[in-house]
Amino acid sequence: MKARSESGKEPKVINIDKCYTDKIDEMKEKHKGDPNHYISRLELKQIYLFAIVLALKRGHKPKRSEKPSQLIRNEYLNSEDRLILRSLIFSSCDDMKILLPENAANLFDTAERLANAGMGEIIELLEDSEKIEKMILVESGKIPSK
Amino acid sequence: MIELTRMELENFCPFFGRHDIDIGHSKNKLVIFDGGNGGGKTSLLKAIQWCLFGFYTHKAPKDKIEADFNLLNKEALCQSNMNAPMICRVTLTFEKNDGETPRQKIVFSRVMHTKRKKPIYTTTTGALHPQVDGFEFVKTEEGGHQDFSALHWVGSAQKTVERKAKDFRETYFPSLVNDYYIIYGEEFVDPRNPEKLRTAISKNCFAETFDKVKGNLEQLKMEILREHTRDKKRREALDELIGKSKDIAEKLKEYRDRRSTCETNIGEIREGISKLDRQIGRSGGAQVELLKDERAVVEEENKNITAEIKELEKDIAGTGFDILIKMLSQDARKDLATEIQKHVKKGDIPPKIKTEFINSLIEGGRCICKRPLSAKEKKILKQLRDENILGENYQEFLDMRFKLLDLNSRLPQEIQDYKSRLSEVDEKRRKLSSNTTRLAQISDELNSLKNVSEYEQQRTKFAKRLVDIETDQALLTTEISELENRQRTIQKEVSRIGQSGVKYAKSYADLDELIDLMDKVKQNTIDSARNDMEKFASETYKNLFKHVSEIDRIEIDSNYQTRVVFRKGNKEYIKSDFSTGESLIFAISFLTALRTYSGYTGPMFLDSPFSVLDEEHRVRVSLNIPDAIPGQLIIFTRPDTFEDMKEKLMKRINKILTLTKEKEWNNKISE
Repeated sequence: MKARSESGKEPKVINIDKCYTDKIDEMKEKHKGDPNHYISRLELKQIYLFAIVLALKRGHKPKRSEKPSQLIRNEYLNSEDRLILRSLIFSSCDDMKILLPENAANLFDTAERLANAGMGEIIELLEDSEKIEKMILVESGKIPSK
Repeated sequence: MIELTRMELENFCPFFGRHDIDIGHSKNKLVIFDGGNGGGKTSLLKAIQWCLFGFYTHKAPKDKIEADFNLLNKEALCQSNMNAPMICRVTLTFEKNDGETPRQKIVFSRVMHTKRKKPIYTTTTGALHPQVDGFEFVKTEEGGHQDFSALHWVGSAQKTVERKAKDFRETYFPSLVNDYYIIYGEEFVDPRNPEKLRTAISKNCFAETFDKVKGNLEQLKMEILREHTRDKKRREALDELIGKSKDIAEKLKEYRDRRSTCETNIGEIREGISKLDRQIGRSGGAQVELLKDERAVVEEENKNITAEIKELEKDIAGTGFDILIKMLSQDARKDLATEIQKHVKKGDIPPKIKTEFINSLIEGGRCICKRPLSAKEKKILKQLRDENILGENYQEFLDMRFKLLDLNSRLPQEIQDYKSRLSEVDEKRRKLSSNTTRLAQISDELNSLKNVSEYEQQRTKFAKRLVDIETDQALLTTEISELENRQRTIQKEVSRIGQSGVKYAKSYADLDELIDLMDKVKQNTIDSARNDMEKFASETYKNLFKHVSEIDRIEIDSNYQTRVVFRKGNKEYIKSDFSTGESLIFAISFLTALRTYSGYTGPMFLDSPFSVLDEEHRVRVSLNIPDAIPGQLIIFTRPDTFEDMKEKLMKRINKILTLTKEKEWNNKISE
């Protein structure tokens, strides 16, 4: 059992499969001159969280990275991002222990596999910003105003 | 009174194929042709003028072939085979309405036979394009019949019909040949142009006829003297003088005609110059500066708006994505919060026994008294450890629960803010778009102002031509006065030679008296015509102009300068600066007055007269003109200027015909 002080076990970087980091790089390069494109306006951590959300919503099967590649540094995730990440991972395994500090490595490993599962779809969505906007409007309509 | 009751068109201007327009007759004298831009209103007027006279005056090219080509329907021309005959026809049916039954019908018809002699090339846009030099004019036929007696323009009846047709046209349609009668929208002859008004009035009171009669009388006078001179030598001298006098009379006629043409040209050039002056004035430098200032302001505003939109969009994109993640993960957060709540509620978290201690018990398999642990005790210890782990993190999980609930409760407001920012961007985009449209307009206006230099050049040319013509006119006047002097000298000489032996001094004196009388009658007729015109024009103008109580009268002085005298209380004032709309009302008043004065009873045509008039004046014109003139009033108008007054005019209208442009060169006419 890992002690609480061992929370340093959290990985310093957040990885996903290299094929996706390559695709993201390629897309960034392609839309370099277009500041209006979503890829130019988003942070990578948003793409990461959204990939996990999509994987869970669509029920995609988690995928281990064949060749892990750094997407962002762990420190970029703020407390709110971490809260969302934790809820999502809890939702995937339905066991609160995954949220315990000593299971941090396990949590990020699960997150990586889920991110890989949703990344394909998000890359596709990013090519068509209208779909994202539509999705925002549809989803926001489901939220009660109060 | 003569009424147009039917029109038949075939391949004429934008009317492809055959079109029959049945106007019929009614006690209502108003006929409306209602059509948008390109609907064919002016083309119909052109059809009437061309059918009656064989030419048209509105924007007619000087080249006859081109003028004819313009009348052909290009769709029909495109569909016709090479060298195959194609016809363009206009037939007009008029009915005389002078109380007699049955009404007399007069039918005019003009047909242009043509054929295409070159292939039609296709433009880059795929449009078919016939060329003017690829069209061959074959012949024009004109014809007519009265009372269906089928007197055609052939054979023995030709001359009779020709004479009747000429009489008919001159009696009923002066408005289609004299430009001071025609109103084409904003293009009309302003009655304040003295040369035009002089021509119009003198033509209508037959002033030229008096001059002709006077000339004939003078010749007759000399002939009488010659006839009664018995002495051979004197008679020979007289013959020579009379011959000279005839030559001079011919020259005088020629010079006077030329001087009259000069006068007309001078009028037209002056009008052109004043039109150019108006355009140059409208396009003045001040306007350019104003537009440039406005452009700078709008451009600056656009720059700021664009930057703001960019900033907002960047922010919105990120926020939108964050919101989407939060929205899609909110159930997960809710579940986690519920799960934590369950544990918090449980309250079964044991006393804070160190987890390491419990672990050592489990791993060592013994209790603190060294007794080996049973399997049941191990299970209880494991459960205790697990719950204790959460217990150790109790505060952290409790915080997490509050944060989760807080995040979920803030979400609707965040969505609301996000939507407001989207509307803000939309608003800014709309502003940007309207600014962009305005910038395009400014650019167009500035481009059109570039024409100023072109107008200036044109004006210089006109001014030079005016000087040339005025010089010609002055030379002609000198020549004329010299010829008149010579004529007088000859007349004196004839009198001197002839009088010694004349026994017919009485007839000679009578002729002199008659010639003087001719001058007086001519002057009286012109004065009386001018007075009548003043009277008729004032009456009509008062009916048409809405500030009727302020108008006192219209005056035309001996130089044909017109002015409107207004009265406010005891004070009279003269208005000289008229807007385009006011000038048009003024012109319509004069036109109506001319018709009333001259007694013409044919139809009166007004082509798009309403575009520069407000609704009240449009209604006033449409209601009052049919009462002021004896004949039919045919108005060609646009739907936007007619729609709002339709109801008010309904009782006065005989027929409304709608002109629509369905396709290029394929317009339709419907009731």
